Amino acid sequence: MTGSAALVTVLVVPLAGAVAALLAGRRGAVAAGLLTSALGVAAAFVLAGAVLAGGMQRVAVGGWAVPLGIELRADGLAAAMLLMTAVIGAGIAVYAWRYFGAAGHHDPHDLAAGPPGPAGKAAPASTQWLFWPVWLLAWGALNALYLSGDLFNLYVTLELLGLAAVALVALAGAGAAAAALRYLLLTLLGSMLYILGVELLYAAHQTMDLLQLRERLQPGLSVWLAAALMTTGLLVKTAIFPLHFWLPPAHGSAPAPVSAALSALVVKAGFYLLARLWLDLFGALPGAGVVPALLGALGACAVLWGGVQALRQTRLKAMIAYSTVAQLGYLMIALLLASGAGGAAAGAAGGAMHAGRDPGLPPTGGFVGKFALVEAAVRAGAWWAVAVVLAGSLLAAAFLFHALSRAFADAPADKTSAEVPAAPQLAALALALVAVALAAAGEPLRRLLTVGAAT
Amino acid sequence: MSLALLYGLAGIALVAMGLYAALAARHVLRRLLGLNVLGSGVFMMLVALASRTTGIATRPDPVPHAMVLTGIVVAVSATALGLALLRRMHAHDGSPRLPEDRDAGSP
Amino acid sequence: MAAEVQVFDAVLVVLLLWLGWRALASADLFKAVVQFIVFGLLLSLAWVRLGAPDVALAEAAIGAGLAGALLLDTLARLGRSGAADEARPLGLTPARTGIALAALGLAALLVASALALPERWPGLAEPALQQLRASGVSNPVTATLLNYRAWDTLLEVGVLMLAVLGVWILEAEPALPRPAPDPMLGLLLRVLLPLTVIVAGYLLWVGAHAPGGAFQGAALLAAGGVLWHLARPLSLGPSPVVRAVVVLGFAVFLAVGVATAVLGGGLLTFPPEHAGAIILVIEAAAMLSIALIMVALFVGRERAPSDAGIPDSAADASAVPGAPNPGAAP
Repeated sequence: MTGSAALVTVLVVPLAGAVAALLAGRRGAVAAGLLTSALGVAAAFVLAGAVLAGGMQRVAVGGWAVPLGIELRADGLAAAMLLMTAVIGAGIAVYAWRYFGAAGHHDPHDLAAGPPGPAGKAAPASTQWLFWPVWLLAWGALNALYLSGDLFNLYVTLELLGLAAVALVALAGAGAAAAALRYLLLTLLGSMLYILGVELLYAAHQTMDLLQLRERLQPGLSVWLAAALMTTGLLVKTAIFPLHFWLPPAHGSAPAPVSAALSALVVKAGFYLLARLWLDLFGALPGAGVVPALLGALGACAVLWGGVQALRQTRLKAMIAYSTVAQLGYLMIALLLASGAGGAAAGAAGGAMHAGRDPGLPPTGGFVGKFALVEAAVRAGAWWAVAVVLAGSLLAAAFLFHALSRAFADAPADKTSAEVPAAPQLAALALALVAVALAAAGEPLRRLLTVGAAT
Repeated sequence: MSLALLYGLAGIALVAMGLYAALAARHVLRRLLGLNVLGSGVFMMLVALASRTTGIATRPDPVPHAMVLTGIVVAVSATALGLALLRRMHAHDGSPRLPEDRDAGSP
Repeated sequence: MAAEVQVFDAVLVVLLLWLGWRALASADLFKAVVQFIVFGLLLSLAWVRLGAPDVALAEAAIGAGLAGALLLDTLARLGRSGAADEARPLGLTPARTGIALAALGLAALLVASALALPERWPGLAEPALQQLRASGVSNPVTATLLNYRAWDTLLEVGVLMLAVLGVWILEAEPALPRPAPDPMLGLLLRVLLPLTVIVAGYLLWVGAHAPGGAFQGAALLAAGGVLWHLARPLSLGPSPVVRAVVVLGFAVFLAVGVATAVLGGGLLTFPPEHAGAIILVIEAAAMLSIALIMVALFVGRERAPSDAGIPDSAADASAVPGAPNPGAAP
C-alpha cells in the first residue's frame, strides 16, 4: 500500500464504519464499531510507517492543486496523532462495548444515572447504540482534522467534531442537557471566531492552504487580528484556563467511555490546531514569540489550578475532568518550549504527545511524557516550567491516591463495578501498557515527529 | 463607497451585535439567535469580499459563496441540535437558562 | 452585477441592521423570532445584490425558512413560562458593558482591517472559472461545492447527519396537541406537494448551470415534508428505513470517493467526461437525505407508546387527545 493510499484509508475507514454502524442498527453497531477500530489501527500504523520511510505524504483531493483545491498532508506530527487516536479509540471501543451492553438490552449506565427525569423512562436504553455511529464520525472528524492542510476545511472538521462531542455528552440523558448545551454554545462561538479569522487571511492572501499562506503571509493588522480571533476560538474549544469552565460539567456528566474520548482526544484536537497555527503559520511573524509565552503562562496557571481543583473533588469523574484541565496546561507549556528552542522542539512535542495520551496518572505513560517535558525544559533552561511540571505532578499524585483510596473503600457499594465485566479494566490496562510500550519506543516516535517539522 | 464596502461594514455591525447578544443574553434561545446573527455577519463579510472581483473577473469569486453555503447548512444543523437540547433542559430543569444564569426567583 | 451603490442598498442595509437588532433585543421572544425570519428573507435580497443568487436561495429556504420553523416550534414547546424572558434582555449591566466594549473593539479592528484591503482583488475567481470546463458543470458555485472542494461538502453532509443523530439520542418529548385536521390543508397539500417535488427536481437539475443545487432543492422538499407533518403527523425516529435514507447521501458521496481513489485518479477525482453525471448522482442522493434530515430535525422525537420507531402507530399516538402540554409540565 502506498503512502497516499494509506492516507485515504485512514480517512475513509472511520467514516465508512459510521455508515455501517448506522445501517446495522442496535444489534450490529457494536460489531461495526469494533471491526472499524481494528481496521483503523492497522491503517494508522501503515501510514505512520510510510511517513517514517518516505517523508511527508500528500493527497490533492479531486486532483485540484492548491489554492483552488484542498490538500491533505501527513507529516510526522499528524501521523503520530492519528496513531495515538486510533490506539486510544480502540481502547474506548472495547470499553464502550461492555459499558453500553453488547446487544443493548443491559444498560449499566441507567443504574448509575440516578432517578429518571420527568420525561425519562422511554428513550435512553433504546438509543444508547447511537454511541457507535456518533463516535465513529467523531473519530473520522479527528483524522480529517489532523490531515487537513486547508483552513476552511479545518473549520468543517471542527464543526463535525464539535457536534459529535455534543451528541456524545447528551447520551447521559436529560440531566446532561445543560452541560451539552453549554458546550454547544461555546463550540459554536469558537468556530465563528475561527472562521472570521480565516476570512481575514483569505481576503488578504487569496489562499486558505496553510503552507501557501505561510509563504505569502504579510504582517499587518488584519493578520494579527486573524491570529487573535483564531487563537481565541480554539482556546475556547480546547478548554484552556481561564476558558476551561465548560469542561468539568460536560465531562463529569457524560458516560464513562465518552468522558475518556472527550478528555483524551476531543479537547486535544483544538490544541493540535493551535500548535499547527503557531508552529507552522504565525510563528514566522515578527514579535510572534510573545504569544506562545502568553499561552505557556496560561498553561502554567492551568496546571496548578486544575491540580488543586482536582484534589478538591469528591467524584472520580470530576477529578479526571479537572486533571484534563491540568493536562492541557502541560501541552501549552510544551508548545512554548517547542516554539522557543528549535532543537528541543521535537523532544518537547514528543513530551506533549506522551502527556496527552491518557489522564496523565503517574504510573503510566503520562508520567514518562512529563519526564520528557521536564528534560526539554531543562535543556531549554526554562526552570519555571520545570517547577510547574513538578508541582503539577505532585498534585496529580495526591489526587490519584485520594481517588484510589476512595475507590477501594467504596468498592462493594459501587453497582457498576460489581456488574460490569472485566473488559473495561482490561481496556484500561491495555491502554496503560500501550502507553508504556510507546514510551519505551520513544526513539522511533521522536523520529516520526521530526518528519516535516517546521524548520 | 463601493457595494463591497457598504455590505462589508454592515456585516461587521451584525458581527458585533450577534457577539454581544450571544454573550450577554441569558435565555438560551436568545443566545442561539445571537450566534445566528453573528454567523450572518461573518457570511455577509465573506460575500462582500467575493464581490470585489469587479473589473478583474467576469463573475464574483465562487469560493466564498460555496463557503457561505456550507456555513449556512452547518449553522442550521447546530441550531436544530441546540434547540432540541434546550427543550430537554427546560423539561428536566424547568428553566430555559443555563444553570449559572438562573436567579433564585425567576425561571 | 451592479457595482454601484444605489438608494435600494442603503435602505436594505439600514433595514437589515434594524431588524437584526430587533431580532436580538425584543423582549418578547416570539416577536424576536418573527423579526429573525424577516431578517433572513431580507438577507437573501442582499445576497442577490452582491451577485450570490445560490446563497440567496439557500438563505431564504434554510436560514430563514427552516431555522424559523425550528425556532417557532421550540417556542411553542417551551410554553408560556419557558418562552418568557427579562423585560430588558440585553440591557446594560456592569458585566454587559464589558462585553459591549469588547464587541465594539472587535468591530473597530475589523473595520480597520477591511479598509486596509485592496478595493479590487482577484480571489480565486480566475482559476475557478478556467477549470470550469473540466469540472462537469457550468455553475461555478456548484463546481466549487461538488468538485474543487467536494471534501468540504462531504464532511458537511456528515454534519447534517450528526445533527439528526444528536436529536435521536435525546429522550422523546411530549407531543404537542394537534389542531383538528383542516380540510383546506389537505387540499393545499395535494396541490403543493407535487409542486415542491417537481421544483426541487428542477433546482437539482438546473444547479449544474444556474443557481440551484442539492441544498436548495432539499430545503424545498423539506418544506413540503414539514407541511405534510403539520397535516398528518409523521414519526421519524431511527427506524431502519429512515436511517437508510438519512445515511444515503453521505454513503453515496463516500462510496464515490473510495471508487475514484481505487479505480481512478485519486480521492474524489472525477474524470472530466463523467464529472457531470457523477455530480448529479451525488447531488440526487444528497438531496433526498438532506430533505429527510431537515424534516426529521423539525419533527424531533415525540413520545409514543412504543418507541421502536414504527411510523404509523406513532403518528396515531400523537393525535391522542389530552397529550400533556409541555407548558404545564413540572
